[in-house]
Amino acid sequence: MKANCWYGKHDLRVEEVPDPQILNTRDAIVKVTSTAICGSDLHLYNAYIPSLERGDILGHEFMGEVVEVGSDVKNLSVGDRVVVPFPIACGSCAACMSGLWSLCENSNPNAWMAEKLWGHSPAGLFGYSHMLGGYAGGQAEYARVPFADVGPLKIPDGLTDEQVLFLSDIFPTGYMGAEMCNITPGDVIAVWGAGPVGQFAIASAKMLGAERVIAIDRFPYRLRMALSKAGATDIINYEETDVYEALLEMTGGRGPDSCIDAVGMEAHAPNLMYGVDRAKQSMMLETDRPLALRQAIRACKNGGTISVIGVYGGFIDKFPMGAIVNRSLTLKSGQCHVHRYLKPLLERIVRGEIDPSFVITHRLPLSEAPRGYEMFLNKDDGCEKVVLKASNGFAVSPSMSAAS
Amino acid sequence: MQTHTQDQLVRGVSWFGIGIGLGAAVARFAATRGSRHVTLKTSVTIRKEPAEIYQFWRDFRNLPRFMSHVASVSETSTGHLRWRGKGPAGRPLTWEAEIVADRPNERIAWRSLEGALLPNHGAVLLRRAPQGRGTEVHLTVGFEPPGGALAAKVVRLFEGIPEQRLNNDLRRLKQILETGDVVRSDASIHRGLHAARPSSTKELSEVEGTVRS
Repeated sequence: MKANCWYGKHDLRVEEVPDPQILNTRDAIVKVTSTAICGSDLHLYNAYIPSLERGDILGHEFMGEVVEVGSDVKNLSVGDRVVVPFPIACGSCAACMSGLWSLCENSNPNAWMAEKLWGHSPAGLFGYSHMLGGYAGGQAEYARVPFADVGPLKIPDGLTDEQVLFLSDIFPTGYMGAEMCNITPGDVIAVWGAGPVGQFAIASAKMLGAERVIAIDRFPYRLRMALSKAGATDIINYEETDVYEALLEMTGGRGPDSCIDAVGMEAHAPNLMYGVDRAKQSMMLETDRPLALRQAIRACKNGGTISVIGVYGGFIDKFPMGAIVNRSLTLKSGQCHVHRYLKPLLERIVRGEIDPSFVITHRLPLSEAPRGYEMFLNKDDGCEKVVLKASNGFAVSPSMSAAS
Repeated sequence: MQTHTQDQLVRGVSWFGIGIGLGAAVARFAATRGSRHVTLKTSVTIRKEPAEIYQFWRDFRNLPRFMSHVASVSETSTGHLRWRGKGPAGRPLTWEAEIVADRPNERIAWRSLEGALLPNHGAVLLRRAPQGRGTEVHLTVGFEPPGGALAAKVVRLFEGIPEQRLNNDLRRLKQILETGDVVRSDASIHRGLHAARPSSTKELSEVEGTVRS
């Protein structure tokens, strides 16, 4: 099959790789029909996430048709159309049982690597480094889906790929970002970053009853999308306006009730190939750029909440802990527990409350994935979200090639 | 020299590690450096009743499913355990052991018999975690390498590796008991470095224990 493979910084190659096969009895193989490039994939593209290997298949936002199921997968059948959540979760450990699906205790076979960096390991993820599992990603014609009896969401007829694809990550991620704000009537929410996740955080904050939602970015086309599509009530271009002053002006000096960081940072980290201890050491010496986060903390009202859904990888410098303590701020974060949002958010799509396809600006064949990354990174041609159409109908089915 | 050794250490713990078994690593070390008792401890919490974990462990034939340095364990006609370890360069290391403590649902302990190349002992202790949080599994493994004094500095350097391997073993035990099988990723099924991409059928045929349907 064809797959988008990482070979180093800004070096992606769509090449022929073996078809996936069932490795556990709870696996399924999915023929990918649509997959997307995530903002967090750009951290991989820029080689800022440690423990990538040459030849790794990227991609964690994907959906498609089930073409094969392992013997213990009873809830799916060949031919089912499914969206696959980006965290891999077993459904039976303590974390999964308490709804913390992105913290599954069993799905990362390289848990020890994550422990070295973070103390404990989160769940394994598709196509997102070896320290998060070493799983092939979904920017491919086929993907193996572990714990297929737990994760994939069956899609009812009548919905297009583009309406439901983002249930795999960015819609639930944005939604969780808004949910962590515990929005009550009258709340003003400020969202840093009007990329795809920021757009869904804005849309979700509106759905959850925010009075005003303020989008902060530097790209006019993204701010326009936030206003016209996601439902932002106000925008701030931080290259033109002082964000702190503008937010205070908009809120009568109170500051936003909650602030959502949908920016994250390019977490500078050395490659784990040089060893975990060394990586850890070097990480301590490196500093990231938590500009949005610092700004969010400074602007947030007394007693407010900072909700962090942008990806951070390592350590940050000059963290304004004094503001958190002395102003009773609450900091909440997490990789999205996608599984818990799949059904409720699908229902919102079915009811017509939101059509997540509004973020899509570019559609490319899988073969042009590298160009898609470049456009997305450089914000060329008003690029907001790239969807890759994976299967072109000529691929050999995995079961056929596995028999050879 | 120090840097070189640390490089090797790092390689050993990394995912492209050289695949030397727990016992073998200590044995190799002891052979060159002399004798010192080495005790390794690790623990994991499993969302199962102590009885289920006890029964699984008490059938020692299950151990190779999650212990990376153990190729097989069988019971001999005399009721002892015959262990076959995975040594360096594919050389098997075999020894016999006896069960020295067996308290159902609580503790099992074993000790190698006279004549083992690398005298060793182990114990698994099961403790109910508070408020339905499952069972804490505490594993202790000790080695008494033969020979003279062992350079303490180097021991410290190497102790991290086997303990990590032991912890990985318990994680696999948890995976088996909580999910039914060892969890496999495209990269993790290979001993050496492998990209996160599917393996060819030929590559897969060389991987132990994968399920294909």
